[in-house]
Amino acid sequence: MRDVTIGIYLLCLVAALVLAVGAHRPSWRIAKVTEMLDAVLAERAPRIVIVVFWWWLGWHFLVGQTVDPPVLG
Amino acid sequence: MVGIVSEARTRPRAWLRAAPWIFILAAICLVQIVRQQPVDAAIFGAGTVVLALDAAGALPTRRVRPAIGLTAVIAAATLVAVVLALAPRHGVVAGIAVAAVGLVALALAWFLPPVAAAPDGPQRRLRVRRAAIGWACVALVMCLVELWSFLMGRLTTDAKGEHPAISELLDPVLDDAIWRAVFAIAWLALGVLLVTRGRRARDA
Repeated sequence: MRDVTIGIYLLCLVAALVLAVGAHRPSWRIAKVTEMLDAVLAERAPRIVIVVFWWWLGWHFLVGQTVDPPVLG
Repeated sequence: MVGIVSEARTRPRAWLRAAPWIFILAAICLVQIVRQQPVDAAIFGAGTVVLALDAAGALPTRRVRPAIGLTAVIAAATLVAVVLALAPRHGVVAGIAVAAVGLVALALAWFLPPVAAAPDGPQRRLRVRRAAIGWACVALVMCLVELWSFLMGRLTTDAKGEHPAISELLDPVLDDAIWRAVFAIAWLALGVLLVTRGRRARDA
């Protein structure tokens, strides 16, 4: 199960790279990351949510408790 | 009078557009409560309340983001990256640096972004929608697997090994100063992208 879980994380990473690179091919007809961010971040609610979550990633991995102990030991 | 009527008509629409995002923050707050992390829960809880108040029209909204010199932002981000790479993880210095970055980023995110240079055409809107759906699908799968792994890993040490959350996989890697520097640079670069992008539509 561990390998399956890690495999899904890696697939998501590959999918993100494909979306980022594929957007530069006109035949794919999808917006580049910067174009999409310009549209999504135009409104305050998504802007604040995405910035708060981004900030929390830095906090979580560099400052706060990164790994939680199991409840049942 | 016309302004009041217009405001009354657009307010429910503002609520509808903000509601999914407010729900996301509230859901993350709930996860932090389950994690028994009061500081993290308070941050997401406060964000939820602030966005709800904003959607209700109770907070000031009209100032446009000041022009940000990209060179200055990159210089500041580089300085913070060096501090985060050299400072011990979970220490006071790293805490102050990350908190300062958060305050500046949130202040910038609160302003209205500048107006787009050109109006949106239907083709561009379609391309943006397709990209947003693609990225949302990736993020959704990632979040669901992460949530499942987190919940299963909460039970026992064996279960944690079988269902690793991303935090468990990255935690030992980030103890190494080189990888911590790579993470800090990637994190700050994404932050610079987030606080400098965003364009209001000309036809809005």
